[in-house]
Amino acid sequence: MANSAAVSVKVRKKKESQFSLVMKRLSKNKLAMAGFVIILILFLLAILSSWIMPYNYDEMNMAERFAGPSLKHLCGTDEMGRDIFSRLLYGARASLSLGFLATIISTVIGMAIGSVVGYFGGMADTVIMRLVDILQAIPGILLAIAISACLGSGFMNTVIALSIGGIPMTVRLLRGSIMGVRKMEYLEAAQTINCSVPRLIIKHILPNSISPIIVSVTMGIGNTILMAASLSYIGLGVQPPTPEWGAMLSAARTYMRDYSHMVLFPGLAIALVVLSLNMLGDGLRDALDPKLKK
Amino acid sequence: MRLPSFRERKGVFILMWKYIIKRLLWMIPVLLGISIVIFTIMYFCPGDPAASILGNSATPAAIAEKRAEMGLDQPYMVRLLSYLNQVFLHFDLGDSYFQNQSVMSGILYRLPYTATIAFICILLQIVIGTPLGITAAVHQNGLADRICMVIALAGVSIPGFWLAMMLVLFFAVKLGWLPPYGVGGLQYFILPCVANAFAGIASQARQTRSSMLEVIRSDYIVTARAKGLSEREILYKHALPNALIPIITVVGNGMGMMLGGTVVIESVFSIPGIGMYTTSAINNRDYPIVMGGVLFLGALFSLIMLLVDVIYAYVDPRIKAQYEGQQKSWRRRKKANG
Amino acid sequence: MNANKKGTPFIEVKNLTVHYTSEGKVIHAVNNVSFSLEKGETLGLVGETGAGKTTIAKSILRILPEPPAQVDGGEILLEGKNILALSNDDMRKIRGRKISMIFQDPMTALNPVMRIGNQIAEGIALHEKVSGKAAEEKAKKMLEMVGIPGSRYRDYPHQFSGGMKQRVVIAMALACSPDLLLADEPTTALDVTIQAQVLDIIKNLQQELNTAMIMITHDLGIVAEVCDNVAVVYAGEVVEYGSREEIFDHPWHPYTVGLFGSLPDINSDVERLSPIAGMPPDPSNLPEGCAFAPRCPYAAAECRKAAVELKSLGGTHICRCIRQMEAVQAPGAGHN
Repeated sequence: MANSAAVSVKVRKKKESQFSLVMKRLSKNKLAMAGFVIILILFLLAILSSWIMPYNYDEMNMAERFAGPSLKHLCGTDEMGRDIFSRLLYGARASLSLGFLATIISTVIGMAIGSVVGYFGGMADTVIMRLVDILQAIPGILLAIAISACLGSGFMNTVIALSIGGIPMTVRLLRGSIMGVRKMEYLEAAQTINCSVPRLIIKHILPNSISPIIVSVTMGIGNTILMAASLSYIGLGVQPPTPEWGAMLSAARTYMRDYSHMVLFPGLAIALVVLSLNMLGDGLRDALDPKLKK
Repeated sequence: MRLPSFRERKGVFILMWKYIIKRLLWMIPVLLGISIVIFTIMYFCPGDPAASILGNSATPAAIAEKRAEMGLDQPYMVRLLSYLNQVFLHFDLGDSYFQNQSVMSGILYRLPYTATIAFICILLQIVIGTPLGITAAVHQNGLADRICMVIALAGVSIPGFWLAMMLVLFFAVKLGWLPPYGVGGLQYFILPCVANAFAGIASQARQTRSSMLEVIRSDYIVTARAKGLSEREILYKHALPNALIPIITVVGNGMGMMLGGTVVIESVFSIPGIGMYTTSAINNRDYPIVMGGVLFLGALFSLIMLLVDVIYAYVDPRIKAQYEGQQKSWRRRKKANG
Repeated sequence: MNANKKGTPFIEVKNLTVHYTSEGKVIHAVNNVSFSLEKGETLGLVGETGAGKTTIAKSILRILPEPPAQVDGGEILLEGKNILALSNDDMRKIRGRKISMIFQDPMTALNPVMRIGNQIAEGIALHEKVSGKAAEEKAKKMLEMVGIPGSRYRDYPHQFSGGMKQRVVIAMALACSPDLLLADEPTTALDVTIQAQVLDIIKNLQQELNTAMIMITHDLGIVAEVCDNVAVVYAGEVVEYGSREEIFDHPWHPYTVGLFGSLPDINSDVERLSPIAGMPPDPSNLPEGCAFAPRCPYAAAECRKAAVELKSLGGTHICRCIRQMEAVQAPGAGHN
């Protein structure tokens, strides 16, 4: 017993060192760290937006409609005289939480399905993979458009519409990597010491197929934010007056010829978030798979 | 360096045809699945098409009558089966509720616009993205690599429709060089295609680079170097053919993204393509168009993926061997039965 | 070094030193290695995994990945000319033509999407400046020489077994009749039964073409079978060098003795093998003094103080140990 305790301590130590090794590699990657810091700052700004925005996000001031960027209004004002900078800060809440929630929901569901399907194979595998084929044959944005048309606009409905489209990819990814590790000998070793199946999946298989998932989640959040913006742009998804970035762009489209600042800043905000997430995702991929880097 | 003999090539061709036919047959259940999924989504959509067709002044009795006429009062299963029957046994996507036109002819009328945009975009993606990725990989960590990768990173991060708006502001509004929206000559396609292709070019460049980097580190590249080949020969004769294999899939998936992207881009530029047709039908609750549009784009995407797989099998001898294996086992079975 | 006094040796490696940089750490892979070799001779480079044997071979062919690897110093003289100083273009003319290499893992050494025949013919067409047709003929002949029917010229690597692939790799390495063949554990990845066949093929072809060969291996059985001279490599250093007989009959260095101790011998009835205790040193943090001292049963305080020089033991036999007398247990084992 004492012996096994010693072994488990050793194992934990090794895991930690692996984690810290990845972190060390990641912290050396300037681009990835920049992305990470920007995301962190945006998160803070989004959380604190109620206190730090210079104006209330829906405070109208008809006297100052369409004002260009100035010290008074950093990003100018919109057709109702609302301060665009304040709206962007507050809108970060909607855009970020949309991206994170939808991606995490689709990843969790996709992982559950993918790991079961990948481990057991057989009939369940055939049926579910055919379903995945079907869902993947529909261009993602069209599927999201159709679902959100059906569910109606609103935050939670948009989250659902966006997450359904992401599930098939995670299922496929996890199934693939589980099929890869399933034949490895350490699994047989685990089976010979009578490891239960859920334990086998959670303790032995998932940790070994997790790195592609981490990378795809990071990149997926960016993609989801892009998709959410497209949805709002078409007139679905999160609707005005909620200052979601895509919705702001959609509203600004009518005035863009004369007041280009109205489309410039929300777009830059979206690009900045997605860019940071992609930089972080790239860095994570390199850190988790060092053989690709050198 | 001898070309494959006629017999060898004929063998492969027959195998390919068999495979293609198998895949085409497999598309039927996929399309059935898509129809069921999209029909179900539309079934649960709020709103009553009958009421919107008749307008605000219609009496409840008239609406009920219209519903019965359109078959909307039938239960879900009956409506689903009759839709599938109509689509798959009569090749009829139904009629639009509001436009006096069948969905199929509506789609075919709009197809050229969408197809042109998608085709130009995929061409741009391959022709620009691939060399960009190769350059980056060859000069890994050098200046060229950094520049290529910054462009690529920006490309996958910028929303396509926003880029489209910015391009319009600059090239159409400010400089007046290109038309801001609408359709007409080739110049009308420039801005939509550039805006839509940027993300594809970027992801193509990124994938090509990482695929190239992986290949460059392979043992067989060292072998080639040990033979005394020049770096150029190693690059084009050994590294590129191997790196291109995974990239073919990226091109296929990129097509899916392209088709999705055109949906949004068409609405930015008011191009009457299939995407615009479908999205505006969602707002009008013209469900036959939505279902038809999704089904059509799904079928188009499946066909493209089939093409990708065929090219894949043609390029990678390991996969080609699987078909040969299949044929051998098929022959064996035939022999055993006969 | 080599007692051969016929003038310049065919190939001579002098004080070769190579290091790798990995995640900020400097790994001393090869330290001051010297040896020489005549045409038709075979030198065995023996040592544990990670001792730097492959790095030595790759530096001779100048195919080390740079960075992370870097040659810090030394000379590699091919017929008196330092190839480390050659331009890349001149070096390319040597690769595959004068020096070629058989790689360790046949599974990954062949390009998976190129026909094996073309992979062999490619080098021939390049170096012998012949037409495609002639190169194909020669490639077919090479295939047949290693026991693969020429009709398989148009097959792809995945259609071959591991042993067959290694034969293809051998055919490729010998296609231009090189003067020096670097064989990097050519049989490690193969089944025991196939190992013998592959070894025979290499040996016969070497004799036929009068090729010099450097055989990298950790298998003393292979050394006994094919090598004329042996260099024992430990932590990037040659710790003992001599003719096959000198090394096998009178191993001096405690590490060499240890290697023999971990070899099963069916003629003696020893009950258990005696493995060398401990692990090879961390190449990014080599001990001061003798690198083997931490594992050496005979190590004394002075072993850990300063680097140990090679000392001649008579004949061609040299050894890097200051406690040789104590190391050799059996009386009369040393030279007189």
